Order: sequence, then C-alpha cells, then structure tokens
Amino acid sequence: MSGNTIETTPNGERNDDERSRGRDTMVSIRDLKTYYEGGGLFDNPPVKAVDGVSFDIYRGETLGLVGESGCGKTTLGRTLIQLEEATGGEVLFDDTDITSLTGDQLYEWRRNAQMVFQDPDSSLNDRMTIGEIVREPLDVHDWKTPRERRNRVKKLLDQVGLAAEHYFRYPHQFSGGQRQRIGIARTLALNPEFIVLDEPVSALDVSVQAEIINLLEELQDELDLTYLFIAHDLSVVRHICDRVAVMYLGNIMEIGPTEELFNDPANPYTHALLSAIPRPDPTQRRDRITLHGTPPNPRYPPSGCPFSTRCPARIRPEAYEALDDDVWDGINALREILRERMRATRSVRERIRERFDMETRFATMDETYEELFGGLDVPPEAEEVLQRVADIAGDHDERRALDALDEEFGSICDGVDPDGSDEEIDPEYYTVGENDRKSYCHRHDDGFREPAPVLDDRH
Amino acid sequence: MAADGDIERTVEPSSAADAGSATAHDAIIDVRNLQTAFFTEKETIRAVDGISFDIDPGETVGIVGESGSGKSVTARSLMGLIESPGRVLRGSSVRYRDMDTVRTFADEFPKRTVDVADLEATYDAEELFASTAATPQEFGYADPASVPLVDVAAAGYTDELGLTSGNECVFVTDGSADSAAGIQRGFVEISRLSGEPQRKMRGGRIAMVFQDPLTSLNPVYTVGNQIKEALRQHQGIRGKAATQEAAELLEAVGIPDASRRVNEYPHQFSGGMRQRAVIAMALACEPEVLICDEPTTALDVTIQAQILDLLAEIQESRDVAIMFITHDMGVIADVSDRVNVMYAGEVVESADVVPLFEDPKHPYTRGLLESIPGHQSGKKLSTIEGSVPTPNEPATYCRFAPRCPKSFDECHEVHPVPIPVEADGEADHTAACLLYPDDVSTAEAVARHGGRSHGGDGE
Repeated sequence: MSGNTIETTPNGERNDDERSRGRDTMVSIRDLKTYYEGGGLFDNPPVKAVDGVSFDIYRGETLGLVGESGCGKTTLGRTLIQLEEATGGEVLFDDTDITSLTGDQLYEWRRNAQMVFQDPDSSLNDRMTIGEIVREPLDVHDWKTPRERRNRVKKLLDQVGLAAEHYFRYPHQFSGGQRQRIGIARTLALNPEFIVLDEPVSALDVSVQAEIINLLEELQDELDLTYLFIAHDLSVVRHICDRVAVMYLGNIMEIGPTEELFNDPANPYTHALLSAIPRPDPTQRRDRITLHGTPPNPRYPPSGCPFSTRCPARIRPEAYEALDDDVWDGINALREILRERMRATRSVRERIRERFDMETRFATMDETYEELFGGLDVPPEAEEVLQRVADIAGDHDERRALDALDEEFGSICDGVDPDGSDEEIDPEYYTVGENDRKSYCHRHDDGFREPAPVLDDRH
Repeated sequence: MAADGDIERTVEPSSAADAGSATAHDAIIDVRNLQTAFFTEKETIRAVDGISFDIDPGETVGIVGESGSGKSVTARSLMGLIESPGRVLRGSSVRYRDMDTVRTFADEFPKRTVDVADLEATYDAEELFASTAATPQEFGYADPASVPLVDVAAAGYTDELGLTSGNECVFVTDGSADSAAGIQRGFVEISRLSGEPQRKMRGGRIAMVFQDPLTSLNPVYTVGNQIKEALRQHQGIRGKAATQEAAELLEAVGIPDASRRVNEYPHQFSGGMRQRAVIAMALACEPEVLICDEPTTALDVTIQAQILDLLAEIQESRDVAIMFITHDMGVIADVSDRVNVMYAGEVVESADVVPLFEDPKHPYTRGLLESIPGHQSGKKLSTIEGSVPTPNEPATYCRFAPRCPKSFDECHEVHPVPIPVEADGEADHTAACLLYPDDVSTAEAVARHGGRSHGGDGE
C-alpha cells in the first residue's frame, strides 16, 4: 500500500506513526497450516486449527489477532515462533523459512522471537525467585558473564516498572498485574525483535489492564518491537493495534488497518463480532446481530466458506430468494441439527434400540420438524423438499439428508458450484476499502450484493 | 400498625432517594446494612461492609466492581451460601417482600412467624440499646426511642433480650399473623433463614446462575436429570411429566433438538449451551429473583450476546427481577436498569444506568470508566494507581482515598456514607464520597458524612 492513500482519521497520530515506520515486511506467512493429527485406531480426520492463512507482519507494527475461542489464534501465534510444528506452508522471517529450521539454527533464531502468556499465575515457576525467572533465558543462551546477567535483570525489572529489590522475592508475593510485568521482563531479556502476546491482559482487572497496555506501548516505542497481539477483547485491540486480523475456524476472514476495519467492517463475520461487543454506553443501544449456534468443530469444518453455517448474510439460491427469513432460520437450524446428529456418538445400546425401532434420545424427526416449521408459512415446493429431508433423517441417514438439503437450498457459500460442477468452491480474498484491506467472502464479487446492505435488510 | 409502616418507609436506607417515594414499597429485595465477614486466624476480612440497595420486581440491578470488591460475597449472602469461617453479621437485614411468599411461609411455618405488633408490648427501646451492641445510628436515627422495633428485630438484636428466640424469619408488620390471608404487609428475613424455609427460598424463590457452567453442572448426571431434580424438589413434578417439562425448559432457553439434549451429559454441550442449561435449571422453579454472578465472563462475545439476549427475553416473559454481577462495564450498560458500584466491600456509587455512565460522580467510578480502552481520545490509557485494599478493619476513613486523585485531608479521617450527590436535587443518585453533595461547601459536606454513621441515612 502507499502511504498517501491513508485518510486522516480522528486518530491521526497513529497514521503518522505508520507512515514514519514505513512498510518493511518482517514476517511473511504463506498458506500456513497447523493440523493436530487425529490418528488413533479409527483414523479420525485431523483437527484443522490453522487452515491455510497468508499475511504479512510489518516491522514495528502491532498486528491484532482476534476471534472466538477455538478459532486457532493461539495455535497460529505458537506456530509463528515454532512452539508448534507447521503442517504446511511457510513462515518467512527476514527471508528465512523458520518452519525448516532445526537444532542449533532454531535455538539461535529463538532469541529473536519471544512470547508473553495469558495466565501470569501458571507461566511463572513458584519455586524460583523473580531474579532467577527473568535471568533464565540469559542462562539458557549463555549470555555474557553471570555478573552482567544480574545487572541486566535489574535493568529489566526497572524497565517494566518493578524495583531491583524485587530480585529475591517469589511470584506469590506479587499481584496479577505485577506478575504479568515479570513475564514481560523475562520476554525482553534476550532483546527480541518480535513478540507474540497471547491474551496478555485478559486475566486482569480493567484498571490494571490499562497499566499493562501502557507499559507494552512504551516498550514498543523504546525498543522498536513488533507485536502480534492475540486477544478476544476488541476494545483493547482497537486501542493498541495498527492492523487487525479477524480469524474464524482456522481462516483469516478479514485483515486491515484497525480504525478502518472497526468503522466500516466488510466481512459479515466482522460485522457480527463487532456488533456483539457490549459498549459502556447505555444510551447507544444498537441493534445487535446475534449469531445463532456455535462455531463448527474444526475437525469437521463445513465445505465452502467456514462461516457459512452461521452467516447472517449467507447467499441464498435464486429460486428461494423470496423465502421468508423465519423459514430460512428453520432451514439453517435443521442443517445444524443434522450435522450434530451425524457427529453424535451412539452407544451400542442406542444402536440396538434404533435397529428395533425403539425410542432413543434421537427423538423422532417429526417432532423436530414440527418444532422448526410448525406455524410457519412454507411454500409448497420448499415444504416438499423439507418433508423428504425429514423422512430420510428419520431413517437415521443424516448424511443423505444433508446432501438432499444442500442440493436444494445450498449456494456458493456452502461450496456448491453455481455452474453445476462437483468441485467445491472456496471464497477468495477480495480487496476492500482503500488501505489494502482483505476480506474472505463471496459477497464482494460483482455478481452479488455487498454484505452491509444485505445485513441491514435481513436484520 | 399503619404508623409503623410509615416509619418504616422513612428509614428506607438504600438511598435516601427512595425515602417516601412509592418505589420503596415495591422492592422485592431490600438489603439493609448487609455485613459479611470472614474470620481467619490472622485477621477479620469484611468482604461486604454495610451495603444497602434494593431490587424492584422485573428490574435488573447491576453490581460492578473489580475482583476483591465483594460482589460475589454479596450474591452468596443473599443465597445463604456463606460458609465458615465466614458469616453474615448481626445488624444485617435482607428482606424479601414478595407478599405471596410471605403468606405461604407464614402458613407453612407458623412457629417461625412473628407479628411485630405482639412484640411491641414488651419492647423497651432504652433497655435494648443499653444492653446490646446496637446503636440508633446504624438504623439512621439519633434518638433510641424512635427506632422502629421491626428494624431492630430483623437485624437480630431482640434475640438477646429474649423478645425473639432467634428462629423467626417471617415478620408481619401489618395485618394478622394468625391466618395467611390476613397478612397485609410483611417480609421474609433472608439473613435469619435456616432449615426448611431456607431450602424453599433458595432455588424456589431466588435462583442463581454461576460464572462457570461446567462446575455448576454435575458431570455424571444427564442435563435432564439435573433439571428434573430441581423440578422434583420444588414443584413436586416426577416421572414422564418431569422429563417433558425439562425438555420444554431447554427449548425455552433456546436449545435446539431439546428432546435429545435432555438425555445428554454436560460434556456433550458447548460452553454457551451449558450456560443455557444452567439458566433452564434456575428457571425450573419459577423464581421471582434471579442472581447472575458473572454469567457470561467465561464465554466468547458472540455467545455472550446470545446469553444476554436470552436473559432479556426471560425477564420480559417471566417478569423476574435480576441481580447481575460483572466486572465488565459494557455488559452492565447493556443489561442494567440501576447500577451499584462496589469498592472494597462498600457501595461507593448507586444510580440509574444512564446518569451513571453519562455523569459518574465518584472518583472511583470515573477512574474505572476512563481506564476502559476506547473510552477516551488520548493515546495513553488513564489508570488508577495502586490496587484494591483488603478491608480488614472497620472503615473509619475512605477506603479509596489512598488511590484517589481528588483526596484531601479529611478523606483519611471521616468515613463517607452513601449520600445524594445533590443536596436538593434528584435523590436516586448517591455517592459515598466527601465531595458530595456538591452544591454545598466542602466543610458542610464533610459534616454531613461525619454526622451519620454507617448504613443508615434516613431523614
């Protein structure tokens, strides 16, 4: 991106910063995948924690990584500093692919990249003094002489707002905020350039949280650090980050400059996430977009767009464009139920009961159908399909029922090719906004309406 | 007895605001001078130190504060869940004013019901205040003779004189205690409950939702079983009817495919679904009051939005009063009608939600709001220096003074009490700070705080 396209926002200061820092790429991530293998006796499919992400981190910036729990943000952070092994793709650190480093090379490189953990209680060893904790990285890397190490530790303690006399105390003598400071001092010991901050303030009270955020910002200015800031608290992210990446089910849904992304979100998931944050302002009761259900299991991600199962702006097939919103809710709920039933493990007893047509916890499909569509005005052609789906599901063949449902009501979002081929269609990254912002959604294609007006209409 | 009622109204302590106004009588829960302390070998911790507030039917009262401010202990005191070494101190009174409950309890437990008019005959105010630790000031009076007997009895001081046996928990203030229908006014004193009436109140009339849904569900029983237990205990519903009712409750809290879910175990539910199941369990006994202790803290924002929507829906359809505890100012702004801000065991500010956020008065509330990122324009977050003190001695000074940017000499000598922020203005906004009322001179304001003792301010 070029600096001159940056619009002056109320937060002009940050943009100036960005300009002076320039756009020197520090870390380049290309199609990175981290899978946790299923294996085992039944050869389960792997958990796709990070499923092919690509982005750059610029030198001196703070990149925020947000998303719900289980979306893979921590795994991504850990993979970047090789605490997890990547399954595929590459992480280029100043043109070195660190996923291929081993042994001594990796050990040497680790000086450059450090991590601050979420929970200051469990990330400090209770049996070591503060001095020992902070000195440990120096000992491990055999840094200079013991005397110099001690002086370095004292300087570090001072830098993070603790006193030199804290050197001989133990972690339990400190409050949560102070412990997080100790963790930060340890991280800084080897003068890293890049730090992954994994929810560093989530466990702290709001007034203490503010102190730690201020400290992190001061350190960044002083030491020219580059941060990857993982968080689920979006107000903190908005304050501290230059750019933000929004993650969902192992994929990056949207990435771009913070203010622009917060003021004018492009991706439907970003819309929903932002509208879900309760604001400390009782007069501003905005209409919240409440997402239904929970994120799918990363072991069985949906085909097509990862967000399609909950998306409030999902593209509907042309034939059913006019269908009532309530009916669509019912169809989506039915799909959820079928997916869940397919995954639910049946005990041997249940299988036998099923075989002999006895009552099981998988209650009759008729009941469920009544629950979802009873009292709704379903057009005959849709009703016919839904009945058929319910009948198939009634025979405990959820797979086939789902296929029948998708055939009729599926769209490009579910990976169905509009041209009729059998190949699965994934969304692409479209450039949105003015500052190199990317969003992963079919709706940015010229053939469809943009997400924002659709959300307005449907909500 | 009518006169008694009038006196009672004038000593409404939660805020002088309510004194004389109609709302005072409508409160379903009326907390007066609640003190809960934990007695350890080292020290006595006054986790809740003389707080007063009330909850109207169908209203949501928010309680907000940092960790260690006494929010959860307040909730547990209301539920009778304080365990040794902790105890609710004498002088505390928590009145449950739902007339239906009072009549039912009076009918079922005649031996534990007391008609205040009958006590009046043997009551001697002078003797009581001379021989017990009670002071007229704690009830908001200067003259011992004008303290109404009902206040003294509810606070437990008459036990020592033998006027009451210590067992009474239903107080009838107007009408005849002989028959349930004859009772005009009265209350159930929650702090004096034990045994059977305690069990009937807890869960049956007041239900609680805890922070972590996984620990409040038993992993070895199905979710349906646990809901059925509540139905059996409080409603006497058993067998198939109970299963049916449990499924309906799950459906009511938005769990799809409820008839299957009833037979599943907690580990088969996702986090949000578990919290819904816990809410279903709390609703099983049709309580009038629901206490929610950080119900969304462990959940993601999109799931949090779902639960907040659900609670709002429940409140609308079932007209329950909700006491909502959280540390998140955004959530408080979203859910509450009225907010109490707690600091070190005391309520430091109490107001309706809009004035509290638009025009916070107490320096602590201001600090708390200002330390939320995104609430201010500057780059650096403002913080509150220091940390929350442990309230381990009686308050003879302002506990916030050491951290307060506005503290002056008197703050360390005079203990502020909740007082209307404007001497003559709208009185339902109170702050416990020597700066208020702000339309009189500081000396006079200090005198007003100093002239009153803890808890009562009834004139």
